[in-house]
Amino acid sequence: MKITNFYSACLLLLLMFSACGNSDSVGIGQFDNAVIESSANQNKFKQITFTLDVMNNGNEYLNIHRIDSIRLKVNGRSWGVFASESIDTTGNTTHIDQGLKFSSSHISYLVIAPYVLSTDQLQTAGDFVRYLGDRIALAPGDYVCEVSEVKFRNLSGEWTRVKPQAYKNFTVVANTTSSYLGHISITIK
Amino acid sequence: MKQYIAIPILAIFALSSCVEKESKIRVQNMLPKALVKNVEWGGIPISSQILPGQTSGTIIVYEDEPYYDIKLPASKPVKFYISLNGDLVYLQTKASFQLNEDDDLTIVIADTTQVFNPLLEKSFSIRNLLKNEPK
Repeated sequence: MKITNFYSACLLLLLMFSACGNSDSVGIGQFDNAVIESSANQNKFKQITFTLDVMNNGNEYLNIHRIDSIRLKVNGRSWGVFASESIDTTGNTTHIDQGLKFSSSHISYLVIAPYVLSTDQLQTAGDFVRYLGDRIALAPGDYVCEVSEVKFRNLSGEWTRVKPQAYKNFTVVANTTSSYLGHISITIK
Repeated sequence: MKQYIAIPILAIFALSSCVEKESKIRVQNMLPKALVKNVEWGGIPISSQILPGQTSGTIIVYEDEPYYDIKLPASKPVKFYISLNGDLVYLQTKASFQLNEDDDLTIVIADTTQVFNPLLEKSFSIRNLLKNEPK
């Protein structure tokens, strides 16, 4: 039993060291360590940012530490699942409804969303070709971002899930790597 | 008279036994939109670049290639780069391809060809080992 624990500890250490190496690379997908990027095409568009308000029917703002899960799509294609940046909203609560704190003051959550290319594994030459192709997230042009799902915890620790279907258009300018979408508001019914 | 007939026959026999047998090998790229670059089989360079749908030129491999440490018959994987939009990734086929004496072999790299990158394979097997570790 002790030998097994020692073996696990060694493997975990090995994985931690390899993870340290991975953090240095500015990648899009989990297999990017094997990809040599073209010098002519290094400024790939990688990130969208925006601020998000969550309101109730009385136009009060949700007051929590952070929004745990925000699922995004761009032009109908998965962009990734993200958490908002944490904020301190102590003392802003106006009232509590169904275990959720609300405030009459304006509260916005900052969402920084780098493109996540989710690929389980690469087995065939075709898989690798698709992986290389999908690493170019967005070419210059106009796009629409959809907030397809938002999840956060109430005061009891239970999940509240909202499917807002909120849309925001944005433009990708040539040779830029990120874009600020502005402000998105969603309402809890 | 018999001597005059026997000498040429023996000479032809001796010459034919000295001629090395040769095999032919080439690679075809059936990957849509992707270039296959720096293709090699058993260390023998096959082509520097193959466009989609193109077949490389034919490479002659002799039964004994000491420079590449190859003696036919030999079974080796194909190693190559895939290039898309200028980005490169190095790959090896999981399968080995057998080249016999007097063979004429065309290796096709297609969508379904099983491949791996040694760097990714290493980190993937460590993750799998941890996943399967008894609790």
